[in-house]
Amino acid sequence: MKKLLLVFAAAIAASACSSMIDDIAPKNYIKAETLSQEDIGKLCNGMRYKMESVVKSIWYRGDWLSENFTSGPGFDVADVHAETQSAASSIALSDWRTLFTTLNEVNELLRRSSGIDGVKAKEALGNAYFFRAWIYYNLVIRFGGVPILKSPTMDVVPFSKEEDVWAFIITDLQEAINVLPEHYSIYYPGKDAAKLLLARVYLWRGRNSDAASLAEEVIKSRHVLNNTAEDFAKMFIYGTENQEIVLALANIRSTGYNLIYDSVNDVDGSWNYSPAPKYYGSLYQDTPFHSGDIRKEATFSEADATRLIKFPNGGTGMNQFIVNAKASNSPLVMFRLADAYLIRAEALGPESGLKVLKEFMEHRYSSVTLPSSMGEKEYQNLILDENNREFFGEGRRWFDIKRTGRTDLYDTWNGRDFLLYWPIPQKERDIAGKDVYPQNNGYSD
Amino acid sequence: MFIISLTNNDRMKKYLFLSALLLLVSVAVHAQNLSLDLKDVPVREVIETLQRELGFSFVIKTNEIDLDRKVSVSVKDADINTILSQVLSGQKVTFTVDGQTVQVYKAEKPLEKETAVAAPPVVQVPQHVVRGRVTDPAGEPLIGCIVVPGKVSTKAVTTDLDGNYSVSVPKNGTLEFSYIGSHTIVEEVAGRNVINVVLRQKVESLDAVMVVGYGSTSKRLVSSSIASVSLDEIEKGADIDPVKALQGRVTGMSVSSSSGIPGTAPRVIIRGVSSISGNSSPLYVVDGIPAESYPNVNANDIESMEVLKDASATAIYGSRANSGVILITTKSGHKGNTRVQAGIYGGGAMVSHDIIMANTAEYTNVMGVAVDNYNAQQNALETLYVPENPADFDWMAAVSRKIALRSGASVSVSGGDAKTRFYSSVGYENEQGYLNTTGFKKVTGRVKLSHDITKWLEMNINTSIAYGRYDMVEETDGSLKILRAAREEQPWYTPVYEDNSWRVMSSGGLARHNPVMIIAEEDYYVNKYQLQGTVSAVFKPFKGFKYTPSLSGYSIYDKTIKKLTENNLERGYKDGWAALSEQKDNSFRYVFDNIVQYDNKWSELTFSILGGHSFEKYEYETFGAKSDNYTNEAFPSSSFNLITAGTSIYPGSIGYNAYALESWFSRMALNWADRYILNLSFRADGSSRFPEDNRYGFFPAGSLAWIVSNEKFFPVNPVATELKLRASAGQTGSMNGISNWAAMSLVAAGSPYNGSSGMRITQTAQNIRWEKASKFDFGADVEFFSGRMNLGTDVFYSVTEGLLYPRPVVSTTGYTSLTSNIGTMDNFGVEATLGGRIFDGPVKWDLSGNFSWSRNRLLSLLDKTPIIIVENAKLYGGNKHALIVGKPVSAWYMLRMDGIYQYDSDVPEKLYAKGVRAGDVKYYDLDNNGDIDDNDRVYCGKATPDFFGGVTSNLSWKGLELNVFCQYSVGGKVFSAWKGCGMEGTESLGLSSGSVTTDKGKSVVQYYNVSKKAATEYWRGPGTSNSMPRPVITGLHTGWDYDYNILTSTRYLEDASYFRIKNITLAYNFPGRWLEKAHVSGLRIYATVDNAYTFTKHEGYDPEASMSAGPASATYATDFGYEPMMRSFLFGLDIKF
Repeated sequence: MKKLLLVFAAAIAASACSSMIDDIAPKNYIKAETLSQEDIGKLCNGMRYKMESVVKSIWYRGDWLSENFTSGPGFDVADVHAETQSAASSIALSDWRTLFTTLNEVNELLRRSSGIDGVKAKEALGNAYFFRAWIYYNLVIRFGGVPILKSPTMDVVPFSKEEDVWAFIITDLQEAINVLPEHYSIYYPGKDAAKLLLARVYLWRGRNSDAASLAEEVIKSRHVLNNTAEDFAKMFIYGTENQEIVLALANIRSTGYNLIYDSVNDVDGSWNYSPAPKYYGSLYQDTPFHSGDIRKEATFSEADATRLIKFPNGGTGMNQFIVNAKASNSPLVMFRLADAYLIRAEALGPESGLKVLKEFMEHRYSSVTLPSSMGEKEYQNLILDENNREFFGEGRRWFDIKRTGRTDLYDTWNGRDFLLYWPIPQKERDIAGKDVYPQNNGYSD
Repeated sequence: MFIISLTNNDRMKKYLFLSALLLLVSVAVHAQNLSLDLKDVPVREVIETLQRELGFSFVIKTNEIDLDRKVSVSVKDADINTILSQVLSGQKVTFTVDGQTVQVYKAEKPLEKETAVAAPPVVQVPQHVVRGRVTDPAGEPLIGCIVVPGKVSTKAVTTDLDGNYSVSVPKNGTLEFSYIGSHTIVEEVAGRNVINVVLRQKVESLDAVMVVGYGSTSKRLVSSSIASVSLDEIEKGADIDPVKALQGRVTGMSVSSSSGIPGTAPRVIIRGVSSISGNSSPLYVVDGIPAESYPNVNANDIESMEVLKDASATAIYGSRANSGVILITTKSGHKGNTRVQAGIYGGGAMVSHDIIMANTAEYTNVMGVAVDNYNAQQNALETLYVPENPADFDWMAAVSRKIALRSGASVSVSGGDAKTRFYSSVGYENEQGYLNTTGFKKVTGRVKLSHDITKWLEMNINTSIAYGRYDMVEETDGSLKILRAAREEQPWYTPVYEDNSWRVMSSGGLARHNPVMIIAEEDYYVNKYQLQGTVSAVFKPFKGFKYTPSLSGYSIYDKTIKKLTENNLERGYKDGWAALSEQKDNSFRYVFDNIVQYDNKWSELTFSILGGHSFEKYEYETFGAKSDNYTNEAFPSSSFNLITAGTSIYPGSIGYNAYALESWFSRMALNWADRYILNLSFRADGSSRFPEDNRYGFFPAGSLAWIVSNEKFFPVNPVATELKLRASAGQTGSMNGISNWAAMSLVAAGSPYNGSSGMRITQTAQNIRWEKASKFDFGADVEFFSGRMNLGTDVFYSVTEGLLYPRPVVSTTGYTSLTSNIGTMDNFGVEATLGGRIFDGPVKWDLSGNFSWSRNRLLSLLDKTPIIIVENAKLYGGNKHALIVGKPVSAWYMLRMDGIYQYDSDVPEKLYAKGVRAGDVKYYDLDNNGDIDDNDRVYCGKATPDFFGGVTSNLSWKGLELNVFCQYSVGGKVFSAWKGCGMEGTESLGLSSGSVTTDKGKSVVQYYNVSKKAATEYWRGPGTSNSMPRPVITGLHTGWDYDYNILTSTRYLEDASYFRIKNITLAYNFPGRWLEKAHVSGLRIYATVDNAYTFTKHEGYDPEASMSAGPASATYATDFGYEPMMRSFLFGLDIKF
């Protein structure tokens, strides 16, 4: 009997395993408590990895909403403009959520890299300021005033006015310019990328001379404009080192690809977007001002009007203008020298801008004959057209229209009760409360 | 003369004495001249002595016998009957003697010494000898049936091994036949010489042994709400999933089949929705070991299933018992002859309710109307492209089977000797699915061994293996969804060109992916291997005490392989759709239990005390890889079966998961004189899923039962023969539906930038605690007419607090939802079951039915908003469920369709401006602003039914049996996402389209096919329809996400109420006398129709359809149009040796 009780006691003791409960932990994660200052560089990489997917997820907004695109095969939509015109809009919600959840991650990196020394910490800090500014830039051009979060918080933060958001962006970019290194690789943000973004911000705010001078600083840096269709196309292929690029996200990974082409050029026959017929036929046509646009053959397909060949087509980039060795790892180009020229040209206005514009165009056309002077509107038309030729399929157009207020360029918009500020997503308002998250003008509350 | 005389304290003497006497035994044994003088000896020893010394063999068929009870017996010149009646007196057993074989059975009442010892009464009345045979309805002899001659008492007899008896009784007397577990029958002799009797098993005997958590008890002593179902009660058609078989048979338990995809587990909800995260699925415990998921058990191996419903029954399982517990007990071997059982079946299945699509003429017409309506309203000149020489192709027929074959077989062998018992079985099932190439095969095996090492130590081994193969197609995939694509493909195209090459989507003119090609050019299957084993010991060092340590291991290994061929023109060349991919998941779980139990009696008090400790750890790993696709010859040929044939290998899904649970539990059961029964239990669970401060949950419960009929004041009456009242209260918990790591702040790797490694903080720790339910139950069990009729009722109420849910948060937090304890919910319900024998003659008819009604309600949610919209993609019907305070979980929340605008003048101004005209849907305008948007959504009922249940009828005559089983469910609603809503569906009427390239190379818009109903019943003028709108193509209605007519609304919400003749089985049991010569003890043939007919208003395949199992999930009760449950016809044969 004694033996039996011993066995029994031993068995109970052996199975009293409270400590084993505490030992249960995931293998593919580590606990956040275990992070140290040493890890700051890796966290910075993690943030840039996240930014790749963010940039990809909002990539086509400006093309889609501006009618640059029409439905692709296997996809049809009743009313593209309705997509941002109600508080239930899925596009507004998706962008809001993507940008704000990422902001939290950026803020966390900023918190962890503030006040510590070292090259990695400084780089992380600069990156965090830069990307936070980029996130708020994307929020403010969509929604206007939004909550400003300077650090991670679980609290519901009330809205700030639009001008405060712009001011916050400018401060962040000035910090970024201070902290970031001079340009050292097209795949990492340097001072010039931050300057370009700030120049664009100034353009939005109407601070044209500030915009022009910052753009000029970038023009004077070591970047080089492309002259041929092939060189232009090389900006969009895997492993590019094209010197026109100011900042591209590398997008190198072996899983969870960011395929910008699965929306425009999928190979299974059901992609979402195709170039709108009106642009396919006319965007790159010759005008009295210029002819022989090098971007035409690098952008549209001679053979197939439903494809955009600026980016990879399918897995091997088989229909891309030039061979892309690893289509799924194609870079996401955020800024290039063309931005600097076009910002500067726009900021300077027709009087002194024409010269800048001509300098730029000479790299993009086989012949350019610009007049010595132009009216404001005509000049703006030219600038907007040039922007669309340059950035077709890169998500810029709708925001250019909004910035300049030129809705008249669209038959389907003009005269329509169309709101240029996106609605604050109803779902977020439901959670935060309508008073804390007021709706933008024009939408039902 | 044979004399045994022994006492406990002189064993030596006994043996010497017996040895000496052995010489004398010889012929004396059979004579009635045994003498015995025993003092204070255990029953066990007397029996062993009789076995060893006198050659009697004992078959003990009951656990009721107390072999350790000390007895004293003193008889002279007695027969074995007299001796045994003395030895066993006072115990609830009876026995039979047949030659040298003694069988001991359980009895209703203690054996009385007097009747046996008393001298044979002097017979005053002229006696009359009656012979006969007692059998069960299958014709099997009932051995040891007690036959008591009534009125004028002579000696009772028992039937022999063949069920025969012979007894003396007055000619006008009566004979009472009783057998354990069966109904007692009294026959008037009326001068007959031969009386054969068929005894039928009681439907529910209060003495039946019932398995409860960590133990067993008799049904009489159960004080909580437990339903016990023996698989024999379920008239075997074949093809039964054990848990599905409980549908309609257990009150409070709702079982439904989500789809007919082969091998899909059913949804089970016990006593209402218990949780808003997770699937409200009960905990399954197989042979005492909690299963990780839905159990994979061969139905033929199952002895009984117990459904534990109230807190008192379930709280012993603590943290996982909120949704109830289902205990599955498998068969064991018994001492005696080796028994062999075998069965085979085969048959076919077909769609019971099909969805008919429009043919080419109807399709062409309705799409033409859609274009015309557009042109008329827009003043446009659109045309419908119709190919030259259109075909009229039935795409559904091309992807589906007319008759899907079913077959199965099983064999089991069981038996045992004095020390060892065994049970072993092998089972096989094969089921073809509705879609071509789909199917499910299952092979199961089980071995159970039990060995008595010593008197006080027993070892048990229980192992089972299961292999399942699931042949699949891209059916649930949101992109390909073969079945829907087949329905909506243009009927004027065939899947191949004239040269037999595949026509593909877009460039081949098809508006949808070519489903025929996808099925043909893909091999996609899962092999699942499950291995489960338990080793346990039972120590019984002294009377009443039992210590049971057990160690169980449970291992699942799944391998998924998907292979495309070069000819899969749409997928074989797409990046990410590898030519070959392989995924391996394995999980391992072990449970280490230590349980101590002590049972004893004190005066009128019977008590049982149990204490235990359990530790459980679960680990899951998944690992996968894939190759390139076929572009640039990256994967040379589909003849290769290993991914290394590709030029590159990519990771598939790779992951790890684990949890551990440590528990302490105890229970005390007290029974005072079979009148008052008290059960108290307590469990403490510590789970790795919760933060260290909130790790432990405590779950107490108690119940009280009063067996009123055992009170002296309860009048003896022929109507109500048993009455038991029960009350219980207790707490259970849930940790369902939340991540194993929810309580930790986590950093993930795998986020490199530009070739350099990176890490991300992906989760912030949540301070969560257990979700806890307090449950109350009141019940009454009544038995009428000595068990001829039974009534059981329960009323229950439960409140669940701290509901775990991914609470929506503003995204500035970095998240869109965070797991939190967010609310409170309650359930109230009534259950009743009534059953009885209607005819009890040569033709017997048993009829039983049950009814369960329950009401579920969310009591509180988030502070700011009393409603959480459950978000869902448009493809699955959009946002249509919501959690609403005051309403049931599974609430439908959407626009309400109030008909069709019949005249343009009826259309409100704002809608008119947005293109709405007569023929378009009229929605209820809640805010009365003349416009229709999300603010107009209203509560539209719920998915779960108000009440449900089943009706079972058993009709038998001689060996023939007819069993009909019906189910019903009333008050639920199902959302038919297959009809439309979003961009596709069979009632989209022109609103689903795609740009395609025709055979001539021209780019045109093509529209999805619609159902015959939609194509013929659409609105075409005032008064023509108030439910099916006019066909229009996109562009007429502006300002809505997709289109006005296909907004998420009650247009697609259907009544899911039904009455279903679930199963009809006709069986014939061959009579025993025919089989004896062949040494067969039973032979049964049967024909069965499953899913025979359903009365319902629902238009889809099945009103039970659902994409997910959790009542709070976005796609609950959403009928996406997966493969249907089919009507099957099966024929089978069961044989026993």
